[in-house]
Amino acid sequence: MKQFPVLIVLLPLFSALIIPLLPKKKRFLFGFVSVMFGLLFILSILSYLNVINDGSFRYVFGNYLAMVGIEFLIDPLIALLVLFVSGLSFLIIIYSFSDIQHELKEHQYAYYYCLIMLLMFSMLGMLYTNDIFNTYVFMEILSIVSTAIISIKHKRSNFLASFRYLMLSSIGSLTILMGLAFLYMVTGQLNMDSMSLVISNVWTLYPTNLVLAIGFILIGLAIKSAMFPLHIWLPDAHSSAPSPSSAFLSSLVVKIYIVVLIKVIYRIFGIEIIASLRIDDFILIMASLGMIFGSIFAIGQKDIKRLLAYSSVAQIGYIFLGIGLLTPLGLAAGLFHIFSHALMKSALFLSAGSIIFSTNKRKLIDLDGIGFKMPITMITFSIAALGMIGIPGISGFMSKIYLGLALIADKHPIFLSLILLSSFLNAIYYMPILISSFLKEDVLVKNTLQKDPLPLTMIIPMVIITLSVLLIGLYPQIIMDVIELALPYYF
Amino acid sequence: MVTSFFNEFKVWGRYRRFSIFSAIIFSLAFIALGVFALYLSQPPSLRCLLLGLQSSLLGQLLTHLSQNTLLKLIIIFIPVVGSFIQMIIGRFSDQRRDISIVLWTFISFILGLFLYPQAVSQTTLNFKDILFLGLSFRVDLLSYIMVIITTLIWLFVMMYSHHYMLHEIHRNRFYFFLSLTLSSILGTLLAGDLLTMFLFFEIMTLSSFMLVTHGESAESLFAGYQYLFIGVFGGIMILLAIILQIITVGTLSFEPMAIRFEQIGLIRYFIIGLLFVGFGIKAGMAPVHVWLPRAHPVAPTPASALLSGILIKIGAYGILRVMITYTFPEDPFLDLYSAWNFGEIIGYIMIWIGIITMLIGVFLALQQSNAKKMLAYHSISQMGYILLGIGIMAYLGKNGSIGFAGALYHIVNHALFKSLLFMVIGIIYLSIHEYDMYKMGGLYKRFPITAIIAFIACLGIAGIPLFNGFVSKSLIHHALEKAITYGHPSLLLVEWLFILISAGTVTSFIKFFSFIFLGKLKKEHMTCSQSIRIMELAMAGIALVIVLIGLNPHFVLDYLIVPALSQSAFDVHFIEKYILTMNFFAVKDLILMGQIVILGFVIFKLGVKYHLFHLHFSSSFTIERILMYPINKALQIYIQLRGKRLVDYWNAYNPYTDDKSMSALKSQGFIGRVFTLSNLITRLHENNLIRNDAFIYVVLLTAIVSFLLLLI
Repeated sequence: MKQFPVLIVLLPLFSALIIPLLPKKKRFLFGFVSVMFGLLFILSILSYLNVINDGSFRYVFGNYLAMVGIEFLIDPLIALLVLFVSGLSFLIIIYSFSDIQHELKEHQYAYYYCLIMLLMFSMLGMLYTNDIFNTYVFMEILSIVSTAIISIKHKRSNFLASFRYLMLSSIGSLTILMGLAFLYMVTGQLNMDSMSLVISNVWTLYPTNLVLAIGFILIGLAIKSAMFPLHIWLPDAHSSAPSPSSAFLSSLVVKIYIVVLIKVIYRIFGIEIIASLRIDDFILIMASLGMIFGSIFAIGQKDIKRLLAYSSVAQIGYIFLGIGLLTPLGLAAGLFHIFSHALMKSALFLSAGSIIFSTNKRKLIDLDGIGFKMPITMITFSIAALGMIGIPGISGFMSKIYLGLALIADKHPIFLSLILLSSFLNAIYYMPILISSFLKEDVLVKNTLQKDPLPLTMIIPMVIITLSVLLIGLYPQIIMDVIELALPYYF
Repeated sequence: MVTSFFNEFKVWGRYRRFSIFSAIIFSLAFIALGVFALYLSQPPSLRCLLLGLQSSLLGQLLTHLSQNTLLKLIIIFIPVVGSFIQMIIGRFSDQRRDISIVLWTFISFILGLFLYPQAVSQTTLNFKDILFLGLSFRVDLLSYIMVIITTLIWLFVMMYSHHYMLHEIHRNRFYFFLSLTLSSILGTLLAGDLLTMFLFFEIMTLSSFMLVTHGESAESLFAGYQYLFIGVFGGIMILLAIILQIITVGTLSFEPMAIRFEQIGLIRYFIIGLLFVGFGIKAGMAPVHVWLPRAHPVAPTPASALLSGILIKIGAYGILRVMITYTFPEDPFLDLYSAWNFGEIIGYIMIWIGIITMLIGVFLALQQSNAKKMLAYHSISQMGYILLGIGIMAYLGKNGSIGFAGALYHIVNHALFKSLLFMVIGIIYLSIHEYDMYKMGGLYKRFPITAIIAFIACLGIAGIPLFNGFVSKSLIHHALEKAITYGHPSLLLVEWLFILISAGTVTSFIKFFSFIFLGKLKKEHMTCSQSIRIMELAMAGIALVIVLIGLNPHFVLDYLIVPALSQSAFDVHFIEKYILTMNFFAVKDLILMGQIVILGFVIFKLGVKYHLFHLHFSSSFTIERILMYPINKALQIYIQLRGKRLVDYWNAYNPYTDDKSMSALKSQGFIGRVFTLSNLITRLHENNLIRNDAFIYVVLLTAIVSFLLLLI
């Protein structure tokens, strides 16, 4: 049972090695990928159950000392995140089987799934590892793989976006590396737990080093997780990638970096140091700027996927707002929003992808009457969009309640009013889409209710994601209980 | 003779089966109402019979049904289930779908009646796990009365709407969202705490939005946008209040909590203000009523009848519920008058809000030529009466029962006559395709039955004795007199305004009736098609209820409203002294009413003579414009600082209109302005930000590192 995390991390890596060797037939490739993802999902369920029943545990590679070797720390939150990542990516992968046939050429399929497997490998590794340098290695893999995934469509806009992403994330990685170097100078450790022990002892001796380290790491991770003024790579990258990859990047990849940031803030430095340096104010201000400006930029967009990308910028602001409070309530709210936003945003990207798949329309003005042609797609879109606005019964509403409670309990009413303003702005850009799709007549044909012109492999993942959005919206305890179980590991 | 009989048969409607079916349901509904009235009054001669029925097998079954707490949930979900069934049926046949709709609405009406025993014992149904805080459903006599009046009017409007909607497109979508609206309204009424209420309230906003924009014209889309965004804004206000209340009070349930609420300090004014704005937006309260006169006229007539008749009452119900919850002390036998202090302040504010709402509504209604718009403005003014009643209730505290009774009675009455008036306009519109009152006249000859029904409704809303409006208006007036006796003398001004506004209402409906039905029949209307009998039957049902209430005002008061009063903490002696023994046809009231009618006639004559009904303020003086002035100004300054002209940015994506002129820009309202501003910011800064990536990174990194280094 204790070996499951290693299996979970290595399974995608080996599949990535095997995929290029498979016979060049679609059936083999799709079959192999779905079996691997299914296996991954089952393993992560088992590992999750194991952690919930027996409590968290550490896994040390090769029985080296934790100081020298690499250590995995599996607490309930990480186990849940791994389960969530593998489950959601399983659904997105099933969706992608049909969608990439529209977006990619046939000889690229193997590349694409090879890259997706590497993406899974680095994401899962980054979640599990308890070693800061190991995190950095996974981070580099992840950013290079993401660049490759963005540029896989051979188009000018993709190359431009992926080049910008590559440059910025390299700058980010270098910044993080610089920060890690400063940290290592002081602590001489790379294991997170030993690091935090040393830091709490030597904090008064070497404040300059530690302060530089935290500044560099924060900015580097802010680039990677698209905190507001450093979000610049995100809209281009997420809107030009193939739709399943947009869903991957927007709902999972960015969140992994946020989890790393949580580890750095709460586990390595500890909230006392962070609070005394007033880093939390910085995060809160950036988060609220992101919430407002992300929404404002989203209102100004004409392309549906770009709009969703900017909406992600705003929603990442919500998550940072929760994290920046440095209270258990705030962290729980931020973590809950990681889950709820991942679900809602993947539903939105997948339904937008379905629209592009079947009608080739991306412009918002062209969407008139689309709700009659693709009812299931647009109902998915509507439920997720209403969740973003904060209609009760959908998971976005619970995020808002949790965040609001955390903010009021920590006496930050101004940020609460900013959240509410941002949800009003969300209504302003999501509602016109719903209205034009359900209430405006198509220019060419009369609106009559039809069946979605989509294969079942695209409809079923969307429906499952929508149902889970509603399930979490009605029973937030499913996730909240686990988060509460995991909170002691972070304080 | 034979031909006339044949003609008679034809006007029963295109679909005969629907007509026969709904006529049966119609009579069944009245039989049910009659049985219910007998059950309530329990005349001694029938008591044995009732007891016998109860012990029979059927009686036992029904007793079990009515005492099952899940019944509340069943009532809420019946329209939802129905809506999906109708969606499927509607793909094949309009007639079968409409029969099914009438049937399902009838079932909810009957099941609603069966809630009575639970309403008396105030049962609660809890779902602890849902939505983290748990949902709860509760029924008391207040919500029971609302449920009954909602489903009853819904039933009649559904009978009416069948033939009306045949002229509209996308009927399936319309009926789907109509059923969803019904279910969310029932959910709002049967909610046991603020969160549950909010849940259904938001669903109601969204589903009723689909009814407003059903026409898909530019006008209805514009009205719909306004309705939707103001509704979402109200929802956000309620959400904020919910979050604050969880933190401060700790519970969201609708139990009286005045003393606990008083302990949380000044934030209580903020919470209650947020809730008033949130619910007041739906109710059409004075400064936030701007969406109502736009949204109600553009909806298809059955929808406007329900929007004006039922939906805005949900806002009033919300305010009433909030008032009862926050201004009533926990212990009903508490004789501590200080516990009612909070209500006194809130009530005084509410009284003035109510009277201003009435004044604005009536004044603007008198200026309208579009009949539907006029009715919409009257909805605002009549909501003012209800808010006034609620305000007096809170102001008088322990003795506020009379204000409560007036407000609740007026909710019922207004629902009846306002939906009826909208249905009348709908029938006329169906034949002559005209809403402008000045272009009609003499239609009495073409629509005799409709004219009689319209006359009844007009008498009802104008508050003429023997019709229902009189009853509730005189109750509210009595309450106002009590408030003047016990309270601040400034309320005398309120009473004068009250009389003036009532006269204005009379004037307005003299105008309405005489311009539409009296006078000379226009040439082009000589040959217009006649009304459909089944629609008139539906209208006659509501008219009958209006007359019945008007003739015997004490029945509803004694058997439904007074028990509802005694479920709250009101003074029992006061109720016995002033409400139970109240004589509605006292000479004093009748004389006052006579004076009001004469004043109304005088205003009407003066208005016609001096063309007072065509006063129009310049468009720069609307409430909307005043509220938006700061935003407007900020936008202009921002653009001037950039050295650009606003119109240059106007060709950006805007959902309202393709008109890119300056005048279109000026008339776009708040949301349009946010759109323009965001487009502007996006165009100016989006690419700049993206191009300056390295610069932003360097600045940010330097800033944070130097800030941190300075700090240590």
